[in-house]
Amino acid sequence: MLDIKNLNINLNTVYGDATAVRNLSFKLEKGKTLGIVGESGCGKSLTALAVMGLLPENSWSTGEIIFNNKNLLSLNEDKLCKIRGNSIGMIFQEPMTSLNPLHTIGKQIAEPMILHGKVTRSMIKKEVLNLLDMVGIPDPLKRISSFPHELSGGQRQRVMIAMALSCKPEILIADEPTTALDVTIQKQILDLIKDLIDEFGMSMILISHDLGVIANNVQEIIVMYGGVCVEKGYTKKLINNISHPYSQGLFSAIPTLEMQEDSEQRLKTIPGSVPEITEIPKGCTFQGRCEYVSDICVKNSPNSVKISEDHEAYCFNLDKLN
Amino acid sequence: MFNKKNIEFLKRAIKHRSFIVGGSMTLLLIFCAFISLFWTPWDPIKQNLLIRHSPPSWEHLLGTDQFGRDIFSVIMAGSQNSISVGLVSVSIGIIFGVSIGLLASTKRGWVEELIMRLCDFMYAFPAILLAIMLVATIGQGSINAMVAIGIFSIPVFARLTRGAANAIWAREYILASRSAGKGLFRITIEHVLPNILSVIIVQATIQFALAILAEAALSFLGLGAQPPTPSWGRMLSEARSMIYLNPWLAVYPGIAIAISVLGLNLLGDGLRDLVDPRLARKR
Repeated sequence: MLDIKNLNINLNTVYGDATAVRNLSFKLEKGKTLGIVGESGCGKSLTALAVMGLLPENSWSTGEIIFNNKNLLSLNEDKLCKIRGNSIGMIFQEPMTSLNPLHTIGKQIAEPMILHGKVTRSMIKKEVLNLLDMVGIPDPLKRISSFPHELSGGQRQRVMIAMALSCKPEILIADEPTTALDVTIQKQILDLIKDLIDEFGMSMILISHDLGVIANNVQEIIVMYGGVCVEKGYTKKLINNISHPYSQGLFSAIPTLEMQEDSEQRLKTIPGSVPEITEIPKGCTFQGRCEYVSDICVKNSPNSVKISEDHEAYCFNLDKLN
Repeated sequence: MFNKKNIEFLKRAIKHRSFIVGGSMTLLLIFCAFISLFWTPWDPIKQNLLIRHSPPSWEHLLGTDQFGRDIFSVIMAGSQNSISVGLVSVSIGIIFGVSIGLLASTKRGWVEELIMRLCDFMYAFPAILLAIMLVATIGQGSINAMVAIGIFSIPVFARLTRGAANAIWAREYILASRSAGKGLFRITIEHVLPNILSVIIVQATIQFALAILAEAALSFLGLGAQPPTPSWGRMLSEARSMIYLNPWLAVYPGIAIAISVLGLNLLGDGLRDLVDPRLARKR
């Protein structure tokens, strides 16, 4: 349904042009869920914005984003407006600032449905109440006329979800939907999203920096580093056999309850930091921080290596690793 | 209308000193203009050469001028002129300035560059000088003065709008509403404009004061309201030749101008503090 082929996103920064996402390709089938994981600045949010056609001013994308046999990158703004919210919905990271402080939440939830002509005037209120109830906001009748500042962060994120799902889109893009929330709310929100996805038979792209969140909520994972995909595969296969050194680093940085405070069991970290977007090296993007780095990593970009059916990694040194 | 937010706003407004003082001075101005539409103590246009230069008395509160007109009546009637100049020129400035400012911030790219550079170009000249130039070319008179002053408040509003709108465009709720499929035009009208309205209103009160000053300057030079329309600026210019004979002639319209301009400025200042408490100056 959604087929991304060789997506490149270029940024025009004060330090010159830079490529933020390189040769990214993936497919999302109907009813499936896909997770993109990686640290800040690896290009995961830009990928989401590119699908929506909402890249910032100073950037442009090449490649193909095929959605229902249409290349989204070649559509004009008017046609994109008909797809946004209607066929592809999006939830953002910051529930605190993602709602207009001047309008009631009822009005804001109703907006996409009115825009895309999904409901008649007389049905709007009933529909909004339904949505509020569906996303688990208590006392919808009272809340419908609340302003965003009267709600908590978790409730606002629920409102955002109601907005994004109001038109029953085919794809939901959730860009770090729980990063700004505390852990218990995080679980509730993720469960809510998952339930609604199942209920409506939607596809989802979940974006997070937290491999734990991703692994628990999606069927297929893409690990990104420095604007490229370093490993991808079905969640079960990938988690059971994490292959790329970067993914291994990410995985070993998840704390578990069994950990003791002695030195042997400290959380592992990946040395160094993400290279600046203008200084991403030729060859493998992870070379600067990889403990297995060799000459070939500096010279060439690694090709896809099949680890098993539906699981591949981009690394020259997979044999050494395992 | 009277929800919690508005009541709280009113409470803060009542306690705000410059808002109250400025507000009352502005109300006084509006009141004067309104009353003078129906009634002034004497006819402000009628001359009576028998009582030229009479000192203040119960009959003529501020005395009479060189033609024997009642100064108090002329000042009252002159406020009409000042207010209409303010209203018309600020409206012109808001209608055109806000539109092109919003256009610049919505379209970005070369459209924004072009609009903002044009505004810079207009800014490069002193506003009064340009207004004089414009009135000199399109002809003198009250209406032309209003239009000229209005034209030169366009870049003020355009810049302000574009700056404030750009800040709103960077907010996440704009991105969220774009992702819901809203077009740029509707976002501008429904999300951006309401969020910058308070800034525009504050600027409008200050621009109103500037317009009154500018009109007084134009009238002083004989380019604004033409006789016999009462105008504070022209009163000043007529008093110039009488400055040794009857200096009070110049003082009264001066005080009238000062009170209105000060009042509007205080009001604008107070409004700015009230609509955005974070901007309030520490006192």
